[in-house]
Amino acid sequence: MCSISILKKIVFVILSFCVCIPQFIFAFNSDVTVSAIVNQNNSGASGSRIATGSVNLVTIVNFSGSAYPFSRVYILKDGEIVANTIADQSASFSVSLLGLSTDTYNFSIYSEDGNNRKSSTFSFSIYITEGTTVSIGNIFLSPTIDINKSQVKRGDSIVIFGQSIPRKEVLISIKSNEEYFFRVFSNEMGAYLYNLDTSILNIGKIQAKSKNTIDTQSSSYSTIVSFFVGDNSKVNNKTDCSILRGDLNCDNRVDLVDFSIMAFWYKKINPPQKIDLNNDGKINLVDFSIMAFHWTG
Amino acid sequence: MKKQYKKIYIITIIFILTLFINNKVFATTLDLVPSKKTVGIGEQFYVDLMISSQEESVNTISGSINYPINNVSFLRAEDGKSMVDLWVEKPKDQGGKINFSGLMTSGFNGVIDPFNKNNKLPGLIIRLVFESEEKGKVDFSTSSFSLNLNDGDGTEIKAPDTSMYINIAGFIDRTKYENIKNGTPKLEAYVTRDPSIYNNKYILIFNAIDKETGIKNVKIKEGRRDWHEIESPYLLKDQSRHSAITLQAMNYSGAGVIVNIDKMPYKLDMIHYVIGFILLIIIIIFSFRIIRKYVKNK
Repeated sequence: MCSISILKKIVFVILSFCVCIPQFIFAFNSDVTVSAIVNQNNSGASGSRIATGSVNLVTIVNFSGSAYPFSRVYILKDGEIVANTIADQSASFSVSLLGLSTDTYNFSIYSEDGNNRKSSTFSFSIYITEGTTVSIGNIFLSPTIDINKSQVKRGDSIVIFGQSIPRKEVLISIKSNEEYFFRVFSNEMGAYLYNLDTSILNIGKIQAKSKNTIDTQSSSYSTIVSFFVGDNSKVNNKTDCSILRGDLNCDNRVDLVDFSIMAFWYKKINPPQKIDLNNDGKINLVDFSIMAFHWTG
Repeated sequence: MKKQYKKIYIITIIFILTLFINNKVFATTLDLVPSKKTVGIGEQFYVDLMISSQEESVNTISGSINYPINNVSFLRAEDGKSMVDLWVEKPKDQGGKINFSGLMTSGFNGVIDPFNKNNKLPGLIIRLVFESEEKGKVDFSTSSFSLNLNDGDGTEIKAPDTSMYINIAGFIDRTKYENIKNGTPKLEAYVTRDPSIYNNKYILIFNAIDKETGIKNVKIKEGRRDWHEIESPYLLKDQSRHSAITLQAMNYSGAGVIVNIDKMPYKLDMIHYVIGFILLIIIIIFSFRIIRKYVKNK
């Protein structure tokens, strides 16, 4: 009797573990839903067959989720923009891609608010089979984020703002020597703004990022913006391309041109400072990795 | 009896933690997968480098694949189905060692199988095609593979080395490996310039993709110059931009695509008009004089 009880407990512990592991594995996109069905009418949507008599397979990939009211949402396939759409007033968006052949595809999705600020990119690789409809839903894009000063005098305030889904809580993380969290609500257009009193922060470089939360679900963090706390204040100058890391030619995109510029300087001495994204005096794969993280296509 | 429970709990927890820690350290792993475990002499085969990543997203990869030059010869690297979409260093054979580094702009943390969501699939990094030459047990291995996390900071992680072997049997087999697919390459190209490279001179930036066999080469014809193979970014020979540019990308199955880039139209500004006007006046004066002389002589 006793040994059965012990066995039960062991089974319970192992089962708990087994339940926990998959949640951990898919923690990155635990809220995103993926579903697939085989299309029944695979003789072609219009009922047509191609000349050889083979079946014209209909393949559909649907993307849906939340961005910001009236923001533009971009879908990238293997690093190239293949579709874009405008989110509705409630920030919902949906896009469909048709005609894909059986293959593995790398998809990335990001949104751009009215001031060309971008969310962080949500990426995944997926195996698509011809003749199926695959739906990737509940994609919850991060808010955008910006600051009004690149340097702030300690004790003065700095404004952190951006756009998110409307009327929801935005969590702002401020990383000084320790990490501080502040909560603010977005308005009906999704705009949020927080006046941060810098007297609590240490002198030096500070990083800020934000994310949305709805009930138990939360978006990924936004891109990171940095500012300095020092002896004086400087207005944030957006013309220096510092908002979008990796945008080396200042065209508000991180794409093939930027990659080529960086590739030219790969392993060369004395690269220009704007190309050396991690400021270590050399161009290596770390710089390419930072560029890839901010890739817009 | 309580002590017995305690022991069992502790052992179970240690067992679980060990599993967990091991998974965490090697969250991203590489595998070498051959097309055949046994081949004949003279037979072509391939070795795929596969990446598996479940818990973390990576966006760069660099390293080497080693092979024995006495037993096999390296023919080519096919990147058509690769997770890498931009090569920083294309796969290059250095006599028994194939080095490369590349970028996965979407990041990679496993391929979702929509019909089996709990089991993420590995992704292909590169397919290396070889031809067997001499009988024996042939070892292939990876070395010095490092990856960077798709975390915005480029945090570097190491992938544990992996190896596998195939047997080259004594029989002769001249079977060729051919990736016969009817894909056509895609080629995008821009002429641009930037102060940070080639002193702001005109450069050609391009990216050629072939989702089946991979790109064999990209060639350029600039004006009347001969065709020649180039890499991006390419410094244009004619900086006036008055030469027509034709680019051609070929894949390994022999299909190609051609892209024409328009030359810059001649732009006439005020100085050109003034010079033209002066020349016209001179020609008229000379013509007038010649005609007058001709008439006089008559």
